[in-house]
Amino acid sequence: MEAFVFIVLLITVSLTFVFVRLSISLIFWLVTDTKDKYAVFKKYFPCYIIILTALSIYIIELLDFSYVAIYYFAIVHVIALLIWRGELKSYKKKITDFAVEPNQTHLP
Amino acid sequence: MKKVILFIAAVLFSTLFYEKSIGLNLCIFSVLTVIILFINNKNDFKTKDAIFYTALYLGTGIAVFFHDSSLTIMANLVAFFTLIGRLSQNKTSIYVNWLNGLYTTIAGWFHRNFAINETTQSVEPKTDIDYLHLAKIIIIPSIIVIIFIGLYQNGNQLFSELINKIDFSFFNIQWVLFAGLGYYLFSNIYQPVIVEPATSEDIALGNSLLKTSKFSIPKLKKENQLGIILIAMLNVLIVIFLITDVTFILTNLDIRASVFSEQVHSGINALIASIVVAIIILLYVFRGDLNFHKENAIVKRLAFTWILLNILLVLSIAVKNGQYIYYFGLTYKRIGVLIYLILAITGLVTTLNKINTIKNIWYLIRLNTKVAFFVLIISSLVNWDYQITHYNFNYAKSMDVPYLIELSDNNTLLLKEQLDQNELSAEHASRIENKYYNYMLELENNSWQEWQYDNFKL
Repeated sequence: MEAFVFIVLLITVSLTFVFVRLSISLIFWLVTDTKDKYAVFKKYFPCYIIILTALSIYIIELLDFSYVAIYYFAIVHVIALLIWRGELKSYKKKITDFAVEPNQTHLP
Repeated sequence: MKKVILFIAAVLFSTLFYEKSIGLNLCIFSVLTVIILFINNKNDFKTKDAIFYTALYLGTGIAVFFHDSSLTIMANLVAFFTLIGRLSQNKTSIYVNWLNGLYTTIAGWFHRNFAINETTQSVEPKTDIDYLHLAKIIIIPSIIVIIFIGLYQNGNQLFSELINKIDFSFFNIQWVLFAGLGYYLFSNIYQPVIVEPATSEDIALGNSLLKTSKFSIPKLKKENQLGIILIAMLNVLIVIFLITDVTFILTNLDIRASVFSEQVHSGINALIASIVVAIIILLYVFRGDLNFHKENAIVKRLAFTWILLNILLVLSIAVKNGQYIYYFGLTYKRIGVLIYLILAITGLVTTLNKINTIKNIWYLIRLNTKVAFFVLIISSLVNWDYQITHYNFNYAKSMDVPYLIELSDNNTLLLKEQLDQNELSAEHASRIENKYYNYMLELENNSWQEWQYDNFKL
């Protein structure tokens, strides 16, 4: 029984991760006017997180504020924040990973 | 220091709200929020605006203590978002304040950690915390200590007894997780953030209407003609309607209440819609360059007349609603109609001002949203259940006692008082007694976090 619960839990968390990951990636795929991930973050993250939270609260309320629902959506919230953080960190690494030639002052 | 304050606030948050219903706790939470915000945003609190919104927020918090109702809790929540939004940027419209307040509450901490420095395109420097190391120095020693405790327990009887005496039943994981939620919430709000580009665009968007490059006199003349004919016809129509309406009210002073009921039910919805349509028509006619046309005096005067006649229409609805309340008693729906009428009059007056001073549509939206906010706050300060019951028992010609019994517990003490003074049917008396008994039981079982003003009347 415990093993079954563990497997169900694992599948649920994995599926949640995939859905949240897809929803965030979709934003980056659909925004074609800029490649700057910080700009995308600044413009779309507030809407994304507000909608996600509103949906979560709505479903929690539908499920009569059960602890399972609260914990589940808290995990969803944390996963979403971590994925956004990962996107920005990888982008920061990309934009800082370039060599700048020093000034060649001895050259004419 | 900051983290210590947030930690204390988190512990208080869990103490106040974990498995507790709303009462004194929301009032204390409001004070706690203001303290946290004040500690971190002292400069922002120097403005009169911030002090005013803080007072409104605290006022709704106190109102929850005096009469715990859904409206008051909602007003407290809206005031909370407004205050946080106002501290994040004080020059924006109130709806942008709500957006900023909501965003700060949900993800302020995360946003601040990824605050972008525009000039260098880099994340603002933060001290890196080695979480792995932190986990190692907590988890590894803890595991080893637990293993050694197990070993020593077998070696020494006295030590074993000592260990067995330690009782961890007080430790509640749910309580700790709730405190974690509190810590997250306070970490988010302690330094409000803004949503871009909504905030900067709202600041850039003024209130004044500007002449467009498409300004064309022949086109405007046609628009002017259309405006004059349309609004003049609507004026004539509304005058005829008002004459018949006033005649009806004056000649039917002693009419049966049921006629008013029918009038109010069938008429008010249509009239409410007509006022909204009136504002939309005026906004359409005065949407652009007609405001700058030299020959717009007549259409403007007609528009002002129509607005004033619409205000008269609102007053006539108010009179009908007032009579309906007098005959049938006060109810939430009837109070809702009155609040709608206040908002409609505000909408009409601001539309008049918009046309007179040549403002854009954002001016109307900003001002009316603000008015709606203040109406919400003011209405949340009133104990409506008590007022409805008080009015119906003392002034109304007839009333629906089951309706009063079904209202929230805010009127229970008054109902009991009225039961002692008036003669009610056995069924109603029994239901009131039952309600009173349950309420007394609830008040007695309230923990200090759930206390209400009624607790002090016991």
